[in-house]
Parts: sequence; C-alpha cells; structure tokens
Amino acid sequence: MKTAALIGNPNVGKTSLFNSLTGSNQYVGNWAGVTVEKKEGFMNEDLKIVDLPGIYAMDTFSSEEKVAKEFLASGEADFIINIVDASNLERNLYLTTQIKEYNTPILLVLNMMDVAAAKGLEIDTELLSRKLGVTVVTISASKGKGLDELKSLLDRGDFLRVPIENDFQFQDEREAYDYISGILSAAVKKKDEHKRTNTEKIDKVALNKFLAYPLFFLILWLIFELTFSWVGQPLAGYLSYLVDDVLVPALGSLLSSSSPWFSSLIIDGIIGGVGSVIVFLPVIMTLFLGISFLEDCGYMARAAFIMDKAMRKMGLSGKAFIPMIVGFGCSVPGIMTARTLESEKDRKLTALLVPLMSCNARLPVYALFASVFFPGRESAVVFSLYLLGILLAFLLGMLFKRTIFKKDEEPFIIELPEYKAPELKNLMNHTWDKGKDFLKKAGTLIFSVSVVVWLLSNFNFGGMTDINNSILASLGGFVSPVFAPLGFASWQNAVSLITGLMAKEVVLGTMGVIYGGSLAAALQSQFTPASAYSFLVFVLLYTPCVSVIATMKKEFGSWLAAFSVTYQLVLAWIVSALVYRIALLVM
Amino acid sequence: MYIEIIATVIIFSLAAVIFYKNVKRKASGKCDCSSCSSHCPYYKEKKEDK
Repeated sequence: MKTAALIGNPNVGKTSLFNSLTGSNQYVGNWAGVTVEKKEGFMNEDLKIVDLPGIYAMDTFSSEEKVAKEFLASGEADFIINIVDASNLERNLYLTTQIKEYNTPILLVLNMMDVAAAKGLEIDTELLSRKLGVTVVTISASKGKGLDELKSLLDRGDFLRVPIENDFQFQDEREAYDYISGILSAAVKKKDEHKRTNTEKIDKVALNKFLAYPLFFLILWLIFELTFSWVGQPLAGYLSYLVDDVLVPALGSLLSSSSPWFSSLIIDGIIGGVGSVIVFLPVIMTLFLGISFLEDCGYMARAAFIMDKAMRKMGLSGKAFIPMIVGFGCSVPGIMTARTLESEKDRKLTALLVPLMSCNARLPVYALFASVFFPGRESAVVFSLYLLGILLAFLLGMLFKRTIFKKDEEPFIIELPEYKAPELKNLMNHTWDKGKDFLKKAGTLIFSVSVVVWLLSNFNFGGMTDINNSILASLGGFVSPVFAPLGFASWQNAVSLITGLMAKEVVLGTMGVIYGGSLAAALQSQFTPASAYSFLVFVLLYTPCVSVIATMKKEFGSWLAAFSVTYQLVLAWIVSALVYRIALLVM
Repeated sequence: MYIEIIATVIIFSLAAVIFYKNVKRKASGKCDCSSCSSHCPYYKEKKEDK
C-alpha cells in the first residue's frame, strides 16, 4: 500500500479534496486552519491519504507546521499531493518549493480553477509542470470537476515515475519568491477583460480603511438586535410565560395533595432551577445562528484581518483574534485554539485574555437581568458588556505585553476566503447542535445542581429548616460581605456566584431555586439597576468555570491556571466596584 | 407518601450521579460548552466520533 501526504496552504480546499478522495466526512469550514492534527483516510485498499494541517511555509514554528514537518521527515509518505489555490499561485508555490526538499514525488493539484478563470487567469499547466519538475493536475473540488481524472491518475501512479530533482536551494524568502515570479510570468497569463469578482467588490467596502471598523461593529450590533430585540428575547418571553404561567400552576395543582417538601422539590427545586435557564434557549440559538452565518460566509476571517492592528497593540497578532472569537462561544475551545499560535508567549497571553471574551453561558444571566432592569435597552446593555470584555482584554494585553510577556512582534498571514452564501442546511445544523447541547446541559448539569442547591437550601445539620438557616445561607453569609462594595451583598447572590463556577448558566439556575416563584420579580427586590449592572460585570469578568481552570492547567500548567483565576477574581471585583460607584452617580 | 419517597430517592440518586460525572468531566478539562466552532479541536473530534 502506498501512502500519500496531502499538504497545502490553509483554506485551499484541502479538507474538501480529502473528503472527496476518501469519502471521509470531516467538517469543512470557510476559514483558514480547520485541520490541526493530521487525519488519515483510504482512497482504496492500495492508497492511504494523510491530511496534514494547512500551512504556509516550513520555516516557522506553529504546532501545525511541526506536525506536517515531522510527518514528511519521517519518510512515511511515498508521494505528496500538494494542493494549491490556482487563483493565488504565487503565495501557494512558496510551500511547493520547500516541500521539494524532501525529495519525494509531488503531484501538484491546482484547485479553484473556476475562481482562477473568473479572475481572468489562464494557466499553462504543461509549462508549470516542466518548470517545477512535478506532475500538475487541475480541479475545482467544490464543483466536483476534475476529481475523476485525479483519482484515475492516483490509481495509475504515472507521476511516480517523474524524476525527482530539486533545484530549489534558496538563500532567503525573497530569492524563492523571485524564482516563483519568474515561472509564473511565463506560465500564467491574465486576460485584460478581467472583471472584479464579487469577493473583491465586497472587500473594497469590508476592508476599507475607514469603513472596516464601523461595519464590523454594525454587524455585531445587528446580531445583538436580532438576538435581544427581534427574535431571541421575544421568543424567550413566550417560553418564560409557558413555564411560569402554565407549567408551574399546572404542576402546583397536580401536586396539591402531596407533601409540601415534595412539591417544593419539584416546583422550586427542579422547575425553578432548570426552567429559569431553559427559557433562554431561543436567545442562545439566535446568537449562534448569527455567529455561524458570519463564520460560514467568510466574514470572520476579515474580522481577524481588520483586528490585526488593534491586536498588535495588545502584543498579539491578528491570528490571536481567532481564539478570541471562539472564546465568545466558550473559553475552553478558545484556549485550545490558542495552540495554533506560533510563539509560546502568544499562546499564554491569548489564553489569559480569552476568558474576558463573554462566553455564551453568561448570556442567559445577561438576558434576564437586562430584561428586568433595563427594558427596551437590552441590546445596548448586553453589547456594552461584550465591549467591556474586549476593552479590558485590550488594556490587560498591553499591560502583560510590557511586563510578563515581553516579546518581538511577528508577521501575521491570514487567508481571506472567497465570500459565499452560507448553506441553510449547514446553518440549521450548527444552530440545532447548539440548541441540543444547551438542552442537554439544562437536563443534566443544571438539573443536578438545582437538586443539590434545593437540598442545601432546605436543610441544615439539624434537619429540614427555613431557607435563612440552611447550610447554603451559612455558606453564602460567610462570603457575601466581600460583595458589599459591589452592591449585591446578600447570601443568595454570593451562593449563586459560587455555584456559577460549575457553569455560568448555573448562576440563574441557583437563583431560580433560592428565590423561588417568579425570578424576575424576586430580582427586583434584591437589586437596583446599578447593582444589577455591577453584578453582570462581575459575572462577565470572574473565572468562567471549572472546565476553563482545568484546561488552563492542562495546556499551560498549574502556575498559569492559578494566576488566571486570581487575576480574574481581582479584576472582576475592582471593575465591578468601580462600575457600581459610577452607576450610582449616573442612575 | 411512599411514592414521594421513592421518587425523591430516584431524583437525588440521578442528580448525584450526573453531578459527579460533570464534576469529573470538568476537572479533567474536557469541554461541554455546547458552543461548537469549526476551529475547535474538540468539535472536530466530536464530529469524527459521530
């Protein structure tokens, strides 16, 4: 059996080709860097294909390049399938000149021939093949064109007989690019009547020096409006009505003849806890639908590109924006995605800042507090929290850059994929996956914590008791004075924040159990708008959850995990206290 | 009354098992965020497992 290494720049259709050749069903994203580890698949019983991570060159130090280099150096590959973007050969062939050094036969696959044609490019593949000393084949993987020819070529293995010659020994990058330019000036002709592609037209606006940032914030704002004003929150209101005004009274009458403690366990404990979280399902799904849309259409890569300048001020490259964006979903994968950054300092700094990006789990807390204390201004309040997280990440990034993470700046290369209309099926699948997992979380973690909280709030060591004498009240009462300068010193709030370390949705679940009845009404008696906003700031900034701490420990060791927890708690306390004082003056 | 006690025992046992599994899972640094992204290594692993 022969083994082929599939290699190419990020986002050139490598994973699509791998799927076409092997029938493997991997996720295909419109974003550079979808494959981090190498994947294996079989085209038939004679050919194994190893899909290596997308890389631009062999001379940097990211984890992806290490994986690719190690595999090629191991000699396991009988030949290399080097897939390149035919519409951007100059940059793609730089990697080709480098993999020639492994003295392994190369099959150069020019993908996206349709895009190249749309750009008015005519490629003389025979000349290209002669000049580079490799076999060249053309395809359009997304349209399925040329794949049969490629498969038949792989079956025949003719290209394995092409003599392996490596004339490419370049002193530096410039020399390599000069050589590539020389080849391309002969092998690629550009038609004069080239019309600008839709992507180029959109990028004229989306990447415009003056319009890029306003457009970016406008798009974010629209997603928040969609979530909190137009679709998500109104639907959450209906769900809340169903739980509070239909389900609870129905259960109440059903359990009217049962013992008060049993009725309390079901209604205050389980329904109060799970119900107060589950009603925010539409909010979560709507926000995620918006984010999936941006990701699938290709705008997210532009967002990373335009954020490069701001990220550099933080001491990070624009590439670090990708973990940050992932962090808006959840800090755990955000920290994991930091693996793709090249320098150790970048990875650590990014991992420390990712938790400041407001994760989805905090969203139900924001949504409830914003609707109770800031009706009509929900989007603005939640948007301000997201912006506060970004601003603080920016300031702390600059602080860390000048103190514990001093380092040289590194260049940032990101692939800007072609814009494409997201597939409805893809969007629905992603959104449903999200909704399904949220429901699962409500039915498992939130349910179990609600039962534990109900138990601890109804018992002390002497047996069943009033809630104010319970174990939970004692625990909360011990911690609550810490929150007095922040405006929310009750034991109930303290306990909710502690249980929130399991997951941020649990903050609401716990409040639902402790306060009982209508949570919205209970909150109005516990908070003022100033203390409510201060509470939201604390929820935004304090340690996200146990999973994040464990991931930090796993990825970077105990010291950084402990540092992360400590600095976030201190930061949350200081910023919440400041916000509360300022809010008292303003509100 | 007996039914209530039995139901309560079942609820508490279930909650205890789920709570323990969640704590164990979280303490190992595994993700249960339900905020899957195509860039997330866990997401891809999960997709492949399916």
